[in-house]
Amino acid sequence: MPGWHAATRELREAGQLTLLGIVLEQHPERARLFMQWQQMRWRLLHDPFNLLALPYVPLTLAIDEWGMIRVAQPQLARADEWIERFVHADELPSPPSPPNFTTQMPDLSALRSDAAARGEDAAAWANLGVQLALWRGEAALEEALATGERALAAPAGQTGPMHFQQGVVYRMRHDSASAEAGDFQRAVQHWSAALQQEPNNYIWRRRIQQYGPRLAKPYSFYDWVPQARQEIRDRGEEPLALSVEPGGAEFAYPAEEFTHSNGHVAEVHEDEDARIHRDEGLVRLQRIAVPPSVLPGESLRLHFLFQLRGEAHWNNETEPLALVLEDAPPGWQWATRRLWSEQPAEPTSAEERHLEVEIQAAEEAAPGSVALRGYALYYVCEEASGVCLYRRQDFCVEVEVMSAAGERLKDPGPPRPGTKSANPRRSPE
Amino acid sequence: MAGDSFADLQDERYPPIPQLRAGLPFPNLTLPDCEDGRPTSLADFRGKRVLLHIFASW
Repeated sequence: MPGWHAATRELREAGQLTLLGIVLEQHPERARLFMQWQQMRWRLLHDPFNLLALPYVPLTLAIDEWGMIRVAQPQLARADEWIERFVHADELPSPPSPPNFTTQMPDLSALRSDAAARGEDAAAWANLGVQLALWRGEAALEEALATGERALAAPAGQTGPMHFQQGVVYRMRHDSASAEAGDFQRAVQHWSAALQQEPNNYIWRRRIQQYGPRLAKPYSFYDWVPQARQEIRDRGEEPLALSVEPGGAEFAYPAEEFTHSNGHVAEVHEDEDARIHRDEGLVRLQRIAVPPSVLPGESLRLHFLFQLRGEAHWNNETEPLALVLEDAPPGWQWATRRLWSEQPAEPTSAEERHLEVEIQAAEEAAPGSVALRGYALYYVCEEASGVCLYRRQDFCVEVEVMSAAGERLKDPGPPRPGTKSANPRRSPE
Repeated sequence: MAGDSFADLQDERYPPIPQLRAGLPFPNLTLPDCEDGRPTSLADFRGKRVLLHIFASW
């Protein structure tokens, strides 16, 4: 994309060619930050639901003045020739029946009535859910989710796109002020259900990999963000703010092997006898497994989100929040047995804290549910200047081990030119 | 359709996407602009030659 930007600079400045982007990410401001970094100042549209039903990105299309696609995936190496024949051509042959495009916000009331009139029409309910989320945002997410569930309950041949879209809406709500416990996990479950139906859809697969384990990761997804911010600041500009900061899995580099710590339980336990008082509701702990089910020998990434309730605050004047992972089932391996969160310099704070750890299933793991246990230890105050307490919260994450019969296809990788190094830093797609 | 006349410029390393191949109209799709949320479609670029990139920053 930066290559096309450079190759078309004079044409854009002369008004002979318009560059336009559509970003398929969940969080579009990340693409905007990337474009700010690369100084690509063209318009960018957001399609988090993949309404164009693409199996992969990037996709470049040369579109004429009538809206007809003239070239799909033009070769950058032949940009001069392409420019001469497409951009500099005085007149391109007009199509027999030019498309009649209109820019139109969907009439949500009409879509509602239409879906109700059609009864069990999955496509009508799915479209209503998507349009509600796309155009009304947080105010309509609850209705969008209910509508999406109705679509999934209706008879339909292909539910993959509906599962993917429902996952997008759950993740939208997870990132909103209306977040409910379990939203992130439900998003991952819907994305996984979509991928099970169409394992070659690279857009769907990447959405899970974004939050998934290092062994399944093709590359670090957002390692460019710190460099981009620094270079933007060096230019004297302020980097665009991100509504959701990437972190953990989104920065992690792929691993060829599962690296793990063999720390003995005694080395990691701080409260082996469970004497520390339990938290009675100051901190809500969400656990998310990505993916939610594994084959024997596969790894998964567990996300732990710590959210303060009510007026509660973190006490930052002592040790940071710690996560202790108890014995895994025989043959399973934790990547580490104990983690600590970062904490700000202020004496108290009220941010959400996020820790991630990976675990690899035993090669001989039997199909069924496996319980992974541990606990968190933290200093939390009842309010900003209130009583501070040292508390423990136990957790259990249920992970499903699939049988070989349910085997997922391995990532075929996107259809992209060129080769990748083992630890790639690549151009964003 | 004239799309065929550019077939030699296509990068054949990418598999074709049936619904977005040369010679077809781009779908009539209205999406929000990432900067201000305003509804936008190709109708806003009528009369212009456009190079459209569909991508992700990951």
